[in-house]
Amino acid sequence: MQIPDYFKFFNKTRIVSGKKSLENIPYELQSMDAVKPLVITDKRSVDEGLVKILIDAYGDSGLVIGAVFDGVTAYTSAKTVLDAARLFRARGCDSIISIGGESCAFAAKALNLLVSHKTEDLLQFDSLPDNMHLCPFIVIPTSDSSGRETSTRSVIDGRIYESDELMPDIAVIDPRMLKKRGKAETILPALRAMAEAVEACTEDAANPMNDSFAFASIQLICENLAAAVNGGSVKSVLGLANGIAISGIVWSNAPEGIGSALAEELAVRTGNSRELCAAVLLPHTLDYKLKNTKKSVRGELLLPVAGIDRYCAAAETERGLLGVEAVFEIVKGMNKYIPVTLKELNIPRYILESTAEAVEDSFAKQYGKGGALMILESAYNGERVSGGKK
Amino acid sequence: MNINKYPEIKSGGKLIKKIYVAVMLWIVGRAIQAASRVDREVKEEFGRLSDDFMMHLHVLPSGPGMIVGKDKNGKVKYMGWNPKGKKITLDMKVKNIEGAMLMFTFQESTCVASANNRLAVSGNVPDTMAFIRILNIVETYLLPKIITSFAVKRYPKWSQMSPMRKYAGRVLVYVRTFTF
Repeated sequence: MQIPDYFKFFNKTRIVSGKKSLENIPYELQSMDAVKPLVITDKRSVDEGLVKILIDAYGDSGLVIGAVFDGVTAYTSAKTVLDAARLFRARGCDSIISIGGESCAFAAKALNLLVSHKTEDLLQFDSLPDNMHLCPFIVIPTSDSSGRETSTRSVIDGRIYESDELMPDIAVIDPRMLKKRGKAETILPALRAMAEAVEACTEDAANPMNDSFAFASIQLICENLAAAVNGGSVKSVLGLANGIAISGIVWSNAPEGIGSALAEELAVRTGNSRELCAAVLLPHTLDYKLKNTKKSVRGELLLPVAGIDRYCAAAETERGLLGVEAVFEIVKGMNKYIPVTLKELNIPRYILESTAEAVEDSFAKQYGKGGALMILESAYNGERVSGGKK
Repeated sequence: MNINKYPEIKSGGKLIKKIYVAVMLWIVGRAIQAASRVDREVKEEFGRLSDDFMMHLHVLPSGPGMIVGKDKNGKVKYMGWNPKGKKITLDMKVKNIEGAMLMFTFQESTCVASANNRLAVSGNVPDTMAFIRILNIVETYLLPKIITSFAVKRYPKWSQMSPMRKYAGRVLVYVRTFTF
């Protein structure tokens, strides 16, 4: 196990997962001295009946839901947050419940900043301290979740707000809230979450605490992805949702890796989703690290990705390579449903160069000059990274 | 923004579920009292508990519940549902009515319910464990094997509870539960 000279790990979020876990929300809120939450969500969650499930779960609690604000859209704006804050104050609410994907959670986190600091100006939060006193905040992930719900980050109008305190107090993962989605919609957030967890434990600064969360996240995703995509059991869908939720905690405790930086930059430049770019780049980033970095890829990665049998059967020196191959297998196995090369996304080559240039400066010291472009080139053709060790 | 578009939502009631759980708690409470007179093991378990033992098992936030405890003479008694004026030494709370339904429809055993974080307990851990053991014995008397095996961690073997003890005890517990 890798242990750096110095590390820190923070997790504020308690995960409550399983059958009828929504029914625990009134109890959990009361234990945090809160009785009247504002539910913040989007139209899709209302249309799918998710809000109704929550209201039914509230039955017999004797508590009141302040209001259900369903005005969140895919792009979270300050205006939306301000509207929610006015509603929160008008109804005398004292806590927040977010139902839905990352946009709902981002809006809820920003709302929490506004109402806890009794202000209407989000721009005043230039830099956030890690010791704020915020309202109780519960996240209910749905099938739209990307993992960022449990993270320390909120993005409003393209502006990033980050603090340890922005993590939700509780993430309630109930199978009733995980509705069936299209195959691509199921695969992409899961692969992005996996990419982030894999990247976190292949960084030099990886620490044992974050590793344990990352391995749990990777294992849950790898074990349940195929079953969940093929309309598998409730258990597999729940396992996948847990893996995705844990990846947000992992991501918050790890430095940004070259893979996620490239995926972010590529998504901005091409208009493809971040999830798709992260999924395509994941195996190639790992392959590059395996062959071209001093520390290579840790052999421990094979355990969560491929399972105990393959891990034990492999020689210690081979485990890193086999781990990378297992990741290739998983991503290529999804080629029926999603594109797995940049060529299939019709991205012109000149964009690869400009993307690599934008990312290069931050990572050149760690991965050498030309590393970013090499990853993109191999992801373009879907070929293995050339050079380095085998 | 029109605030009236977003009304307050009051939580509804779950009357039928509450009635079902109330009836089950009444039967179990009465059966514990009966078993404490009929079954040697239950008698011994209660004997090891303090003289002021009083257990309140209830569903949050507003019931139903049951109270079982020792009276002045040290006899185990079912004492109804209202904790007012009673000195509770062991407070077992089921966090919500749905959790109670899972337990009392035997979809989850008491142990699994505890593991699934459906119960909150204030009191001594040894007292709680003793009470869970008593509950398991009482359920064995009250219910047929096929249902009890869902409700308890391990169904007692022949060597632990002979058929003679089980069937004779069952008759006596039922008679005492529903008569006096």
